[in-house]
Amino acid sequence: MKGLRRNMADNQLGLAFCLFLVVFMAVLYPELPKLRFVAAAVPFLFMTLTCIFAIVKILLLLTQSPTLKRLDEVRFIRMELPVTKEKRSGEAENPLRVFGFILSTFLLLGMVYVFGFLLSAFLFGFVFTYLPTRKTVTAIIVAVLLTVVSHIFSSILPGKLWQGILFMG
Amino acid sequence: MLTAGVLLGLVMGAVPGMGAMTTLALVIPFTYGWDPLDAFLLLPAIFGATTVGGSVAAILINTPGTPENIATTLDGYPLAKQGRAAEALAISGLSSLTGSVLGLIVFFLVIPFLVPLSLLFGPPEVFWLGIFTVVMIATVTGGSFLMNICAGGFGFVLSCIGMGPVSGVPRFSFGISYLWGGVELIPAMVGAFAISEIIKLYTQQKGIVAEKIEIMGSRGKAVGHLIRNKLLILRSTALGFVIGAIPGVGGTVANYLAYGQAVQMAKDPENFGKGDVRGVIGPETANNAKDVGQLVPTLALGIPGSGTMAVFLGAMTLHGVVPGPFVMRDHMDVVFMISLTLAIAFMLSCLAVVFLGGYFSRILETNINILCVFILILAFIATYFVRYELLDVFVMLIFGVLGYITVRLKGSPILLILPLILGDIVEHNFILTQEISLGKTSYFFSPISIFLIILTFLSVIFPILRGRQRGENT
Repeated sequence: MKGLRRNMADNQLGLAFCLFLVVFMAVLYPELPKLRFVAAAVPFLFMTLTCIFAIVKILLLLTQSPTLKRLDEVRFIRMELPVTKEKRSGEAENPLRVFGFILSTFLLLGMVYVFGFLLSAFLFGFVFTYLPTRKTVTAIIVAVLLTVVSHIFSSILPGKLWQGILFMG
Repeated sequence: MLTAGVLLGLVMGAVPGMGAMTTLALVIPFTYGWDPLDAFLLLPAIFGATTVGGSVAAILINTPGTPENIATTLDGYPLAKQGRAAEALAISGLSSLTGSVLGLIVFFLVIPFLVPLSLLFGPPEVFWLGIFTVVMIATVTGGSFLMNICAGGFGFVLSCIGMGPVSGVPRFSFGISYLWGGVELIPAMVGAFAISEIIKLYTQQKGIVAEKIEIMGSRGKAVGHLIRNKLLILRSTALGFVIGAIPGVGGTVANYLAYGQAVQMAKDPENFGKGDVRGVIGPETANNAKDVGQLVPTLALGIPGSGTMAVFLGAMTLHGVVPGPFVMRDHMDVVFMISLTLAIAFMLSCLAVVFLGGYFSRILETNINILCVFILILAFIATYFVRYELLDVFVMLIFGVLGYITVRLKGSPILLILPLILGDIVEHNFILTQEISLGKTSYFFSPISIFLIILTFLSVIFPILRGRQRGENT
């Protein structure tokens, strides 16, 4: 039981993702009977396969069974590569930093929706550069450059950038 | 267009953490609506130049610009530290050029044998080929096989969202009209390859430049080194081309194997790792030959030779060239366009590395924060401009997170995107087979289909058996 709890704690992300897959498929299954055979056959095949493999992965993450581990480590070419600088730095990845970055990308989308592309690019560029460096001039230069680049793209490519619901009227 | 592609590829290749896959994913949306031949002028130029650009970072700062240049660091950086940076860059550029030219010659010789191959494929064979591709990629990309298969299956299910390819019935859209058209490929691709890469780049960032190196040494000596090591060049080209032609194996393997064989065949292997020119010639020659080799499965069968090729398959789909065995039969103009563009791009980028390599070192001093902001905004604009649809940007971010999670769980984002490219083809051919066969299941099992099914099973079972045998032996 202790081992199970430890495995759960160690593999939270993997378990969450595989559970999400199983739940996603469970939500889709009731849709299948409403479809004709030709429209349902291929989705059914892949949904079932995904479910089976997601459950096997969940079992592996929970039990760390050696047999399942062997299956998980199946690969055609086995090569031991020396640990690179990139990989070493990957170990020090901070979950909070990851979450913060992902959140900021969604915030940017929200800003684009409200203020439009140009203003959002300026604000995002300023905040994103100012917070880690605390250099106002650098942040302003980056923000202005970013806005100019965004504007140039809108003039090169046909059509206008999204103006934002605040300025649409 | 070609020069712009080469410059962009060189710059992005030189920035550690970027690479061809991310760059292509970012650029492809901008080519939407272009003439396909224009697009195929720009895109191969980018991926050809990226690998060459990656060697600059490998030699000057001991960090490969792209994973494909990893073995180049072993002798390239020591050479640069000895005050022979210009010589190392010239050797790298000229080796890359030789590898790519020889690789292209082999590719042109192989083409006549690939065209008849496409005629052997009918709907059931194409269906099984799609399945084989995903399973094969899951076993060769490394990491977690189960996670790769889960990602592949999930990708296939996502490809089923929207109107069915033959039935025209909206599926799994939950009444959301945005989903009737299915999951758009471009936002998914930009998200899974570019956004997930930016997340990784931003969260793993550390000061890249370890030690500033002066660009010194004689470029002229490089030609002499290449002539003296002509056999090594031939061996590395053959190795790179074959590794590239094996779907999904990727450039890192080619780079390392070429380095390994250079060490094994040398009379004085103890010199490697201390700044031996052969340690740059071998990997760099193989690297570019591999880029050409990747075109064989990608163009002849629709099986991507690498992640970059998976993105390239997406670009082909976007420009009306349906990936699969019929590209060689129906779009020979595109095949020649891609090959010739690659040839010119390699030439330009290699010469740029030889003569301007030092200037590229300045790119390496770029602040990662600023780079991430620019790429993020570019990704937003690129995705938005395809259909002027803000929800596409949302989908891009979702795929960015999914791609990042897949990588964190030792899976490959390629498996998430490849089914979105192949999903329609697989389903369409499944339905076609069923309609042609008039209910006879035997039609699904033609000799080529059976061969593909056996290959699919073998690609999973063979490594398990080999692993068990290895376990017993130890």
